[in-house]
Amino acid sequence: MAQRRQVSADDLQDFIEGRLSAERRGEVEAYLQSHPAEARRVEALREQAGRLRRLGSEMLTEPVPSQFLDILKRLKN
Amino acid sequence: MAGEEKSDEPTPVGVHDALVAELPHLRRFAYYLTRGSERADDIAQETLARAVKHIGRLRPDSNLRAWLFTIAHNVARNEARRQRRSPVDPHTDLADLQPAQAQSQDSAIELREMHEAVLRLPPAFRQTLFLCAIEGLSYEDAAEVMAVPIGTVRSRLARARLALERDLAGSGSKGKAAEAGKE
Repeated sequence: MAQRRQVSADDLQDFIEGRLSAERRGEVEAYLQSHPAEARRVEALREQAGRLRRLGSEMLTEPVPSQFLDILKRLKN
Repeated sequence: MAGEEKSDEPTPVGVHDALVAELPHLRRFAYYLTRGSERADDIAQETLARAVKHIGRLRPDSNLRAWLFTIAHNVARNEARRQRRSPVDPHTDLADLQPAQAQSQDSAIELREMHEAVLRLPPAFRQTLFLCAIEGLSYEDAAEVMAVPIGTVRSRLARARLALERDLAGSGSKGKAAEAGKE
């Protein structure tokens, strides 16, 4: 069986951020299963990441003031 | 404030509609940059005016959102220099800010607390957290927006997450995040 690659602090951060490939994610998950203290810390930060993704979402649906659309009229066709 | 100049180049096909679609994201970035100051929309409009003027500099392969954010970052920084004060407005009344609506009461409170804690972060942490964790930009794009190396984005992001976690764990006592890391 192939030796499992080391899991670095950057890997854990990318895991928290959801920026890992499926393969690498599986390796990090396996690592965390055997490191429960680290797993709890990572899980807390993953929950935080999930909440952060929802922050300010109401601002994306409010109407944009008309001054912005006026500025876009300066674009040349 | 926003200059009246026309574009320097013809507008590439589709760019007008793409810009319209980016406006809410640009306004939200300006909001977080200024901690919800009333200057947020001025900065967003000045950013858009510069983008329109220099639309010919937009490369076909570049990320439009990151390009706009790069301009906004510079506009906000220049404005802060001109006014000889930090882009953080210490007089912003956090109680006036409206955090995200959520389905359950519990998560609405949680989101509100998080929103306020993010606004308490030092500017570099707040901006990094916004770009990477809220907008989901790549580290490369976030590095370009803030004109810092990718390693700096990574380290700021990790420290911002810990500062936020500490602030939220500290049962809402204000100002902890700000103490956690001035750069």
